Amino acid sequence: MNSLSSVLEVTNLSVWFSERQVLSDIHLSLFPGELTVLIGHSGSGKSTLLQSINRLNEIFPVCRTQGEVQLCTERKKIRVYQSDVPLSEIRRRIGMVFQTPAVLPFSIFRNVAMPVRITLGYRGNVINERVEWALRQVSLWDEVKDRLHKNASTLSGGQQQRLCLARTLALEPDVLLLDEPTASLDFKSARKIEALLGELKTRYAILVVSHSLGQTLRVADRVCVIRDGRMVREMGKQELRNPAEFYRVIETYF
Amino acid sequence: MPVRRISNRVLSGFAWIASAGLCLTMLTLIGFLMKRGMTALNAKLFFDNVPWTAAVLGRQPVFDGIWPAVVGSFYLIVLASLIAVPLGMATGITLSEYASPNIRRWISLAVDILAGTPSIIMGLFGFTIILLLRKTLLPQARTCLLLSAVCIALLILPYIIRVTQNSLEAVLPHIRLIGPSCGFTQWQTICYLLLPLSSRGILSGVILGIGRAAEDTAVIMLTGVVAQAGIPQRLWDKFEAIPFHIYCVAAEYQSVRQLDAGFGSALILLAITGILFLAVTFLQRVVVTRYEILS
Amino acid sequence: MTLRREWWIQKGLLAATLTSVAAIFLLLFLLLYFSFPLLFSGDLKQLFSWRWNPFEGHYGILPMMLGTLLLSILSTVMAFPAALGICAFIYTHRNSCLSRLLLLVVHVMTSIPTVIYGFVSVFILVPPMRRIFAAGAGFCLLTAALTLGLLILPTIVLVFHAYLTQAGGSLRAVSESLGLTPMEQFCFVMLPSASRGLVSALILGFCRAVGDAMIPLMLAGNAAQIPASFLDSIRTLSAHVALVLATDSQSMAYQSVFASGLLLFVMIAMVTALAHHLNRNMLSRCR
Repeated sequence: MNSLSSVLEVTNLSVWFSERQVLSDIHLSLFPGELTVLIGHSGSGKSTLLQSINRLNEIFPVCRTQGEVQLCTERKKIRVYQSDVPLSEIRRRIGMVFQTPAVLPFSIFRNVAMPVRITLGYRGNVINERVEWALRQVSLWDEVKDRLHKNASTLSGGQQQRLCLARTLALEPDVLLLDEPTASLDFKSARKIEALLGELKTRYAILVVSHSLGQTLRVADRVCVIRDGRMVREMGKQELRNPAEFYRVIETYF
Repeated sequence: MPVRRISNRVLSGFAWIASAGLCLTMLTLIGFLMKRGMTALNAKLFFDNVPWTAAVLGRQPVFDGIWPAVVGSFYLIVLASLIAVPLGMATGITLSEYASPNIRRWISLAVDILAGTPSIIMGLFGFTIILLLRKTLLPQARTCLLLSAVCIALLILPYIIRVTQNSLEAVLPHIRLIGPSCGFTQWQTICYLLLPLSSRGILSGVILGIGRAAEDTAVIMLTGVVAQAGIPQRLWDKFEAIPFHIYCVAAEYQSVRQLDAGFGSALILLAITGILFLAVTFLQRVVVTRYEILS
Repeated sequence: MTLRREWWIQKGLLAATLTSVAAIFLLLFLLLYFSFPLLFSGDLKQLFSWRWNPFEGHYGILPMMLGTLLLSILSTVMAFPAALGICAFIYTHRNSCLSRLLLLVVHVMTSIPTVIYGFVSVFILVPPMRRIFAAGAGFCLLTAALTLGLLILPTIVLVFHAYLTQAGGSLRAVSESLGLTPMEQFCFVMLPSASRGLVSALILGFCRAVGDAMIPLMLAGNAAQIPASFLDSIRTLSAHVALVLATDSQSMAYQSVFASGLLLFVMIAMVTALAHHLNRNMLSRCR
């Protein structure tokens, strides 16, 4: 276990959709420099957990949430569900990437620059630098630097997903939430993203939802298994070293 | 199976006849209008004997041409759009992004009722406003350009509300989530994400609405259009409009010249609505291909 | 600061929405307000009579109501088979140039102003009618119904076509695999499965016909009488409103206008409600 203090702490989190309880009493901590993977059946509440961390679940009017999520930045602690920090600031600090590459039908440049300009309020040359920095982070810069003003929908699926990642990184998040980021990509692009995650985790605390056990073994420092809205098992680095043990645990808890 | 073959033949024949009949009718209609209208279209039709520079600059009034009707229609369309477009877009945004499902249902019902209201009733509404004003605040109130514009705006309002609401709601869910996940506020999401993505859809709805405003006759007939008014100088002046001019000619033309003017105006009106139609078709084609890329 | 702006924007949008809604309610209110006196005076009976002759003090609007019903039913009945034939043509020739051209023609028709349909009919439909039937001036129920049918045809075709495309897909594949010819597919599979769509389309077309004022005003002759044949002149409620308001007359005539307006409104609201009901049923069925 990591001895550092956690960046994000979820305590006692329960979520209901209308009358149905989707998550109950979830406890979860994310540490800097660590990549945590959430696995579980489809419908077990993984995505809901992800979305309730940055309060994106509040978009659905029938959703009700109880419990606490705390975000610890260098300067202060933000209680996500009861704080005077504006919601938009919280969501910016907790970056999120979705399963389907959600690029806007604008230019590649504008896909990254527009959110930077709006949420961070940057102007002029700072934006250009920021865009280049973000694109370099996801090793996309060399591929697109000559066609920054082409429409982003001309990129391949893997490139689009990396563009989405760059868009999130450009907003200076503290935590990254990724909802099955490679599910709609081919093998090669998926491997590229996995390698990228390995680099990024040194700088951000990352939480990934994954469907693929192989991928989980490759990238995870810690694995949390969710079943029917409950956290049923947590596995640390030690257990993950032994794939046979890992698959045995999965057999029992799935 | 001869019966089967025969019935197939008969039905196909009927379908052919109906379709060919429709095409022929439309060809006749437009061809006739073209043939008669083209010969009538010239500067004299527009400006009578007034030099066109003087007429356009308003230095000399035109009495016998259709220029005042063209200007009147133009004012009417601009005024009505100025009222209906902001109101309609704001209502559409509220309905799709802010309103609770319950409120949305009720307002939608009201909008549906408005959309189904025939234009003659919209005109009658304008007329009752004047009656009410005469009884209460303004005894000297009378029908005028402003009143027509308000009623026409009310006529096209439901189109704009509907098209705004539908275009916003058509933005795919995973695109819609980008906003909040990047830390946009609700208005920023609407303003920088949803509206740009649905702008072409909304624009085509607005153009359709303008087309409606340009062609409608029943509303303005009851709210201030007259056969001879010249170019309106103030909002509370009476005015002329192309569709009403066409109606007047059909009802009571007295000379070949008036008839020619009628055909000329009909052709102009057809050209205006035709251009608007082309614009919408073009926009919709672009929208379709864009969404194909997206999904 | 952003939150404050957000708040103002939200309030602004709400204000605009309320204005739109208020306008709708003002419309309803004013219409009711001006026809209200009718309901509580003895004039009601006078209005609901079969004679309209303002110079002799007869203000019955029943002939106009009959005219509206006759004209809109007749034009819908005329447009219905044509619309079916056109939809069948588009379905059986799908993916061909011809059907695309036909759809384009129908779309173009929606963009042609009503007053132009009326105007052209005055010159190319009325004279033949006068000659062929050698009766009256050619401005009659039949002339108006023909033109009005042409006017509502695109509405019916486009709405029904949209339903057909929606129902399409798998249904088409199944019926194709059964070995049905395209025409049989249309008649025995698509038509029954989209029958509610057809009803909606007809209702929409009918509503347009009821509400339209220009075509009857220009082509139906406007005599307030009970027609004895298709070649007789009629007056509809919508045309009545326009005609009476155009010629300033006494207060009783005004009252008949408001009664006509209210009647029209109620008729359309009722038919719209029916369509809503059908639509909702269909939606719940699809789910």
